[in-house]
Amino acid sequence: MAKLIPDVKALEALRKKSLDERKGYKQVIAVCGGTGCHAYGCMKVIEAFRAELAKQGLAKDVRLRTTGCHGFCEMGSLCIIHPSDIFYVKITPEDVAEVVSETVKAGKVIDRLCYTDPASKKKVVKAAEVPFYKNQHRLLFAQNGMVDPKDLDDYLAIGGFSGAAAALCDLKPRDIIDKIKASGLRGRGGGGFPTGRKWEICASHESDVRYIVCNADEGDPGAYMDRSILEGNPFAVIEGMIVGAKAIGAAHGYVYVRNEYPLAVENLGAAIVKAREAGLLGEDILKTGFSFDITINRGGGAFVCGEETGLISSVMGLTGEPNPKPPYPAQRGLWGKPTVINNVETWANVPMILSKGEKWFAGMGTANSKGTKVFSLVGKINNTGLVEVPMGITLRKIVYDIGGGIPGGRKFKAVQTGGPSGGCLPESMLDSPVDFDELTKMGSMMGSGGMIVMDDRTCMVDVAHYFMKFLSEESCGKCVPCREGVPRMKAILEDITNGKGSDEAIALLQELGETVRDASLCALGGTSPNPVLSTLKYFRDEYEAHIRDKRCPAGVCKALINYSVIEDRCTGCGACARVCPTQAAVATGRPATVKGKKHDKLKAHEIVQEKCIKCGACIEACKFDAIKVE
Amino acid sequence: MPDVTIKVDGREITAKTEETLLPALLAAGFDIPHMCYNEEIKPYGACRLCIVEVEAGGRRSVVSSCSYPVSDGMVVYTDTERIKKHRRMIVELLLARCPDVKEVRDLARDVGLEHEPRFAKRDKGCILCGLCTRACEQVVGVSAISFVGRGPDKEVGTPFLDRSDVCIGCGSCYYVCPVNYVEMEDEEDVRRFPQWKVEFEKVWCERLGRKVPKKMLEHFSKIAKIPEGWFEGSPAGKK
Amino acid sequence: MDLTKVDAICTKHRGQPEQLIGILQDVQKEYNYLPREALERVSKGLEVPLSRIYAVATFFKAFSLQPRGRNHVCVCMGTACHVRGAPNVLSEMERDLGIKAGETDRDLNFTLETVNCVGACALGPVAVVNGEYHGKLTTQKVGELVKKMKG
Repeated sequence: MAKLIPDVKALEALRKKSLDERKGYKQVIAVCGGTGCHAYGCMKVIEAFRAELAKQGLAKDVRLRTTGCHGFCEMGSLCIIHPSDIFYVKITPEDVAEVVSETVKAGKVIDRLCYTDPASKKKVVKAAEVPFYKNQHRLLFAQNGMVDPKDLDDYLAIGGFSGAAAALCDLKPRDIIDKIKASGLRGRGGGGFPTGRKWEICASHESDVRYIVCNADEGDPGAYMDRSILEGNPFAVIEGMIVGAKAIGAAHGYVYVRNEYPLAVENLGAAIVKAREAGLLGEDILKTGFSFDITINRGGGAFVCGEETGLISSVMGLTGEPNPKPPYPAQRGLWGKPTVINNVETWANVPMILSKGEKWFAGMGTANSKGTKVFSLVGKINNTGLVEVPMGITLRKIVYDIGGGIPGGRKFKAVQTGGPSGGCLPESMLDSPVDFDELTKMGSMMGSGGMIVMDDRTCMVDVAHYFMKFLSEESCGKCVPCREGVPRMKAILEDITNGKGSDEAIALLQELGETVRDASLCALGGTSPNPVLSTLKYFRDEYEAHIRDKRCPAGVCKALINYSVIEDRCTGCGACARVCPTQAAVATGRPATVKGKKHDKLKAHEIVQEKCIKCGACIEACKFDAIKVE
Repeated sequence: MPDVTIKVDGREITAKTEETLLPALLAAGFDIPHMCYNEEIKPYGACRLCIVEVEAGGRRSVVSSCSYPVSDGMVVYTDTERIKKHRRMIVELLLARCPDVKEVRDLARDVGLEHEPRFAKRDKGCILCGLCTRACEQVVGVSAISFVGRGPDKEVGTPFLDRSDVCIGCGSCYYVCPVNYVEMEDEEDVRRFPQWKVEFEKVWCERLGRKVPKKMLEHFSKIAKIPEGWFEGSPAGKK
Repeated sequence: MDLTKVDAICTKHRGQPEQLIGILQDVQKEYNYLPREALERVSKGLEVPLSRIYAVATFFKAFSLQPRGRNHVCVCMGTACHVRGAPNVLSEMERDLGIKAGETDRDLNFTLETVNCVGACALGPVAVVNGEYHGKLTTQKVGELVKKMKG
């Protein structure tokens, strides 16, 4: 049980003690314990480290720290050794003994475990030198690597709760709001509404009770930055909420978190308990007379609950149907009371603004978008992971300098930003700066920061269809344009991908899309046509190829493609026949070609079109590139 | 509360501050189609037929007038090309959903939709306006029915789509339905709601002067704390 | 059916109607689905109309009103997984398990579901089997995985 921190003096004393304790260690091994790394088996690596450090008598000198996500999920399990900054990737429990005896004890670098830069093919030893990290500007994520999410002392040692202490002791609510306004912080959850202004509206609304909500219902497929922050640094979110509560005069806060994120629920829950035991949540925090506590609400699996009025309904135990705005939640939210809703990343920025100053924060970014933004860079990209960059960076820098470009040397086609209701941007937009207003101008949006890279083997009509399918399943069904319109758009796109698109399809998609955009009740409906409207704008030729020529240029749409064997490449190895689930890949009577020569005993294979279900298993299995898709 | 003045299609009208736009527009004689609005029930903003354009800060946005609060000096447009175009598309979507519903066909005629819907027809009778479920919850205080499911497959129903235990047979859902979807079979001694799988015995009510479901009388007696037997008494309250 | 567990869950959440979703999640964890009797009990315990509970139970994707299989297979259909071939992974899973997404087999052995993103995009395509993540799936790996599950 954490010890009660009675007042600010005691907080500072504890901070000093925690720092001194940490100075006692000569080295720290920080192993990533995020969800991605969990899937790679990081817990076994951590256990192996613990055993090995004890075995080699290093437990007192070397601290083993399980941290939240480091962001470089492609490389898990991974660890960073401080202070040498040696960075090891894809480590297994079998590597651990060697890491401890060679690197930790003897200071030698193990080449095999170092990261290889795919561009230069060179080994990189230090984390700070890895291009993926080097080109970022990591503020929120730097903290993720420095704290154990369940260790309050860790968080205090990096300056945690100094922002909350300042807010509770030295600042008036008005001063806090002014600071947040001056910082230029805008909501990281989608709309990009100025955070300070939102707090101001809420605080100025006459009411006896006000609420704070943290939106952690990160439903955007392909986006997981909020999960990583909540998982890796939950105290920062708690601290941000305390500051917000003081600013607007709220005594209670809710975190609405996706139930699909079990580790985030667990770590946040543990952090809330610790904060409460330490007296940083609850009655009369740090003897300042201010009381505030937090409840976790687990989501039930509905994308629409990411919309703030839908989320409010859900927190009150109702279905997640959104309500028309105005009135806005800041005026009438939870149980009809003024309520401030911000997402995880927004809350996590607040303590830094308090402790480092609003001018520092406003010094980063563009004219109207300040600070950094975390993006989840996924899809057809070499370095999948979470990247934190200053606002205003170009898409090209993110995709190529940080993301390392497209795997297999393939051609970049599009990047989809803003989640399911964002837009797909083509290559010609790669040099545009990324901020709230620029993305909107290009026909997409910031959303919560999903960034999905697509290459020339991605079909944009298929992608548009994918999003419409997603959104029609996620529509709450309340208003007519979204409930009736989105499935109709999906059906039209389905026809097009099946080669049955009519000549009027494009015009009808455009017309319907505009009504759904303008006339829907909530932001989910209002932005849902974006994937269609943006692909119609930038990739119209692909639509036309599907409709007029009955052709899928990317080779994705099953009704429009055929698999076949390139006979003079087929070695007759039979790998395709072994994996084919429908016995469509079969040997012919003709000889195969091995190393350029015809072979009598091995037979070339072919694909029987009537049996082929186009599942792609043969392509995966063939080592000789002998199967083509047309 | 003082009234506010708003400018609608160039004409000034007054409205009450606590009101939303739609009732003010209707009272002033503007012909605004609507299907999910009823003045006795909280605005819901779902059918989107009552959309208008509101001008604020030099920008015009499309809003549902049933839910939009009035404010002094606001500028509203009800009949722009944009509104007419969106309204026609909304009606086209409704018509594709409910091609055989007379009220929707009439609406299509009213908004000038001249062609058949360009989408594959479904055969739904309910437009999911939610008036029945809201009346049942907010006005009657019973919550016998609710929405079931979500998205395109959403429907109105009782729990587990089975016989409702709490329905009192008042018929509010039937009376409030704008498209005659809710069925009520009202006979001399019995009232049935086939969709909610319930039927009610009717008894003579002296006060109302007709036969009504017994369970309904019991319900209202209970919530209004009316003494037992009052409904059977004469209108003046004397036996 | 032992419904006292439902009472305990309601008590744990201090009988607060706003905790309805959390309560239903706990009930589902206990019974592996939402039995009708349990929902009727929650309705009485919280004094919330059964129709509202039914609306919530059918609105959110996480809830099932049908018994589910002992093994829970969930294929991620998030965007990152989609562009990396999740549709093929799902159809292979459907073929190998002999059930479609959203279905449970007759012996209550398997339930196959899809999820919109588990946030493990670097591992895509991903499936979560009984809480354990399986990444970088191919149709071949799915075959092996199912074989292993079937024992």
